[in-house]
Amino acid sequence: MQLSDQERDELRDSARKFLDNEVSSERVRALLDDADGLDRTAWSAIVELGWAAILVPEEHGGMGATWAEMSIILHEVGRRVAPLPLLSSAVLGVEALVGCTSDALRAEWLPAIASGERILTVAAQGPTGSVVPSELGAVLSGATGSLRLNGSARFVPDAHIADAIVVAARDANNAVTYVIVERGAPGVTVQVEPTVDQTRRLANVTFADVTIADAALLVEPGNGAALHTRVAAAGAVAVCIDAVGAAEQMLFMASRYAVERQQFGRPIGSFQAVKHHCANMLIAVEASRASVAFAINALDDPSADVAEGAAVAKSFAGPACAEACQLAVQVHGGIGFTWEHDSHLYLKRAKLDEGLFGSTSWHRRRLGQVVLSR
Amino acid sequence: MIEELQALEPFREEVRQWCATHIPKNWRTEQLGADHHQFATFHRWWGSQLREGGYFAPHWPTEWGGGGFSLLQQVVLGEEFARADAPRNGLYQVALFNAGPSILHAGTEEQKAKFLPGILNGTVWCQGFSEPNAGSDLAGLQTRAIRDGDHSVVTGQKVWTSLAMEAEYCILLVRTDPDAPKRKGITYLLMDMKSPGIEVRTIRQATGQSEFCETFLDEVRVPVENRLGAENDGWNVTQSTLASERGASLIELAERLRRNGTLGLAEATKGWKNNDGVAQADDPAVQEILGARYAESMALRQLLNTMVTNVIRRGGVGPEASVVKVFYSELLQRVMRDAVDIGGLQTQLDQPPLMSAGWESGAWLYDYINAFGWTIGGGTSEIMRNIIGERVLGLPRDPEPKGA
Repeated sequence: MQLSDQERDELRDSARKFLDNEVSSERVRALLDDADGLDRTAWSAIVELGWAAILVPEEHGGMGATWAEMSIILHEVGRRVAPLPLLSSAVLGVEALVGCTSDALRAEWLPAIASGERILTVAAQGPTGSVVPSELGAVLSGATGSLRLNGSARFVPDAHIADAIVVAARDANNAVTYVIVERGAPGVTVQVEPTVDQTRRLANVTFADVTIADAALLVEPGNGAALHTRVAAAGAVAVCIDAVGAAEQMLFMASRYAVERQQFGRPIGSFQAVKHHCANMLIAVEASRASVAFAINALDDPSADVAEGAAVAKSFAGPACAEACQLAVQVHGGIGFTWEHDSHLYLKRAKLDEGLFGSTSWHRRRLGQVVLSR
Repeated sequence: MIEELQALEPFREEVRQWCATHIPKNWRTEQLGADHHQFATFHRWWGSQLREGGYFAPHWPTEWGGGGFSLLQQVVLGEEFARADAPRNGLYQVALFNAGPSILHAGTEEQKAKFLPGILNGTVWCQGFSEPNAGSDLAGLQTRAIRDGDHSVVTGQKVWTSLAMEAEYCILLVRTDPDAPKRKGITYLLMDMKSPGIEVRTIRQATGQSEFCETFLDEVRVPVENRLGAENDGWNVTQSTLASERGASLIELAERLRRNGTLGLAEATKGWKNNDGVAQADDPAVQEILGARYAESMALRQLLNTMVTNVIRRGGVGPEASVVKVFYSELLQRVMRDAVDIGGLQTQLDQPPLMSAGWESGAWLYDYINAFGWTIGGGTSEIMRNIIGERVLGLPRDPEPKGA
């Protein structure tokens, strides 16, 4: 089900209103030092609103909508730097299941994710944060019937509150398999590694000879390359959308501040040096939105190259949005460097968005190789 | 927009077929080093080809002999012309995208009947807006027009009048009320370039070429019936006609930058080596640069798609055109700058100009220098940033200097 343009505008408006009211700056700040870092009250309401069900097909109790709709929500969530498990469960978890070959797993998990009854996450990055198969740290060994998982995955979003974790594992030949493990399963250890961005929680997940039943396979062993590409691309695009939302809000805050703040007897926004910072932020936000739109279209188009779309978004929007947030701190001057001002929350959020699912330089290099291979 | 574009597939195929049979295969080699006369001759011929094909004035209404193409059809046309590497329709840019739309918008029926058929038949127009002391501060222009019966008598100096030496007519901004606030005392005239008192001198640009001129006006008499819009309302006439016509032509420019600029650079890179003797294509730093520029090209393309969608939905272009202008011009400059670095010293060897290729001639250092035509021309990037800051973000205007 795709929404009309008007319905999308309504979704955006209602999401904005909800988040402005329910996930205020005070609420976000109250959770910065919380162990779970999850706004459970807001999350229950969000599940009621159906945001966890957007990408879930209708036959599994979801909305069966597209990335065009999902992106609206992710953008608004970024605008409020909200601590919510949407990236983990509603994006990565759902994409992994929708693209898997196991009807049983889909039937078991998708309705539970859509209803918010359970939270799923995906461990798609290795110890260095890379999504390249050879750099994955989770290693699957043995034959079907006696598969074992060892090693680790890192920077796994919301693993500490997830009911289960889908793991991108490699074998000795670097072929990728996706398997699902319960968070409490014997041999699985989840350790949150606090990040500078306190609005999210990433975990190091280790596997000590974890038994993998055949029923826990999302794909035939070694056949997960296409699924991994899709999930990694979805993650990359999702964090770029989040960054555009964060940068847009910072642009709004900085321009408003430039109108209000007076120095030398006039608003600082009347000085060209400041005005041009603000203009550069707007250019960055609009061009980022455009590059991300290209990637979103690719995710909704079965014939498109999602990896290329994600690389375009990560190559441009990742750094551009982080820089827009940087400029916003600069425009705010001294107040922007204080803990009490929200600027740093946005800058840190955008920097983590820029780093997740492949660095800027890696994506650019990969994109360059694609262009050179034509 | 995707569905609407799909419906245009037959039209796209038609344009593609036309391009395949009408664009001279070897125009790049034949036009290399063309002098001004050869350039103009070639463009007059190319213009006649476009006219026969029905692609000369695609954006004009059919009642005035234009193609009456929808904006999306123009998008398709721009994409296909860029894909086929058609020569740019350079000689007629001012006539088709500036003079014509302004006359259509603000002209009387008599003016439309007098000038529009000529433009369609290949009348060349130039633009007399900028002056030596009125560049970014265009509204500060000083060329005076004094009324003498049924004529305006114009005296002053214009600069950057592109292709004035070829032009038969000039769209001219003059000051008619020196006592009014500066934007309120400007009038828009349509001036016959054969009028007595006009002297045109070419300007040699930083690239060494001469596409632009200085135009000296000494008591040039322009009949009152050639005034466009009301007396002292010239500023509004220019402001109301610029944006929407540019949308589709910018898509063609963006596609040319993506194909001949970014992808063209990737293609050229395959033949280059770095100072260690390693193929540049294998150098991770080079790959990273190419990826960055490609991502920016795609962002630009999508930015334009959004602009076109907004035009269709809301019926007009807003200040987002300034965002596109800054982003396009600075990306053009970056791509050419990077090409000079990746290509090494060989890109600095002198080579004959290829004017018909626009901004992607393949002479990378010249293309880099030529990119200033976009970062400075049509409103500098700094002025564009002021517009974005003030009109989009609502920041306070710069205080007017004392005495202005």
